Amino acid sequence: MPTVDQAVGRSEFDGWVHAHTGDLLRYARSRVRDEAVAEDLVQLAFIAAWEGRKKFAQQSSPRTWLFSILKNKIADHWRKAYRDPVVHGVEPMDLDFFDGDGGWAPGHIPQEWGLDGPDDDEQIQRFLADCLQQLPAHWRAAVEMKFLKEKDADAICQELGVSATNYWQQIHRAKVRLRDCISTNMKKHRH
Amino acid sequence: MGLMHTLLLSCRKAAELIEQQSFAPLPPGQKVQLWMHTRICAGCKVFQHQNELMDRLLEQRVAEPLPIPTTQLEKRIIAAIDNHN
Ligand SMILES: [Zn+2]
Repeated sequence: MPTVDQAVGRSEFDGWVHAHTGDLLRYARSRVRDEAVAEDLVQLAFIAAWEGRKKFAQQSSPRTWLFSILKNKIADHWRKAYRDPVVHGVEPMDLDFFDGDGGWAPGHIPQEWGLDGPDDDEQIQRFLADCLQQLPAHWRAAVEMKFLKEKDADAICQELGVSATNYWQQIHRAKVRLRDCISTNMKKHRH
Repeated sequence: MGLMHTLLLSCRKAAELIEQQSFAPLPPGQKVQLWMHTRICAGCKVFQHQNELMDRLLEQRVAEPLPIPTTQLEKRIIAAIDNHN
């Protein structure tokens, strides 16, 4: 009979904890602001996995399954951050990257980064990570939601309680700022 | 500048449409406007290119290439599951 003994046992599950905590934590750390939160989310994911162990289909890999649970936990985290009125309250003013005519403002006109080889790629990755940390939490949440999800944008908008237009505009504003931040860093780096 | 903006979008609008496009196809009229705008406007052409690059990097990013010590965390998780039962 397909009963409990088909679900993963405790010692096997502990083996998963030892095998996958490192990769899960690295992933979580790249997607949230601070390390303590990343650790908590990994722990929450494992607890949810243990509770739901009967739902684990033997044919899929534990790693894939654990990652999908972790992604949901990270999404919950950002959904909360997105809705947090305190976070909205402290959101800094939008810098104006455009002039009155809607053209790029002087000093903010996009220019080539002049990427040239794997060193530059790494450099960009690092600037991107730094600039993400500087983004107001509300916008960071919008960006993270876009890249976490197997879900489509409509489903995310419903969860966040925003219109589709509002949602991609948030992402857009966040990314204009991100791009500008990377460019500024890149310029400094070249000098 | 004024005429170009009316016919071929302002840079502000063009940049918005570039992001919007990654969610759903643009209406045909706007798609043509955006295509023409990025042919003429060097800034928005670069913006489009860099925006795509950022999407790829955001998708792929991992915090650090090196393994991090997780023995403590593993212990904590296993203890949490013990308490959970
Ligand atoms: Zn332009």
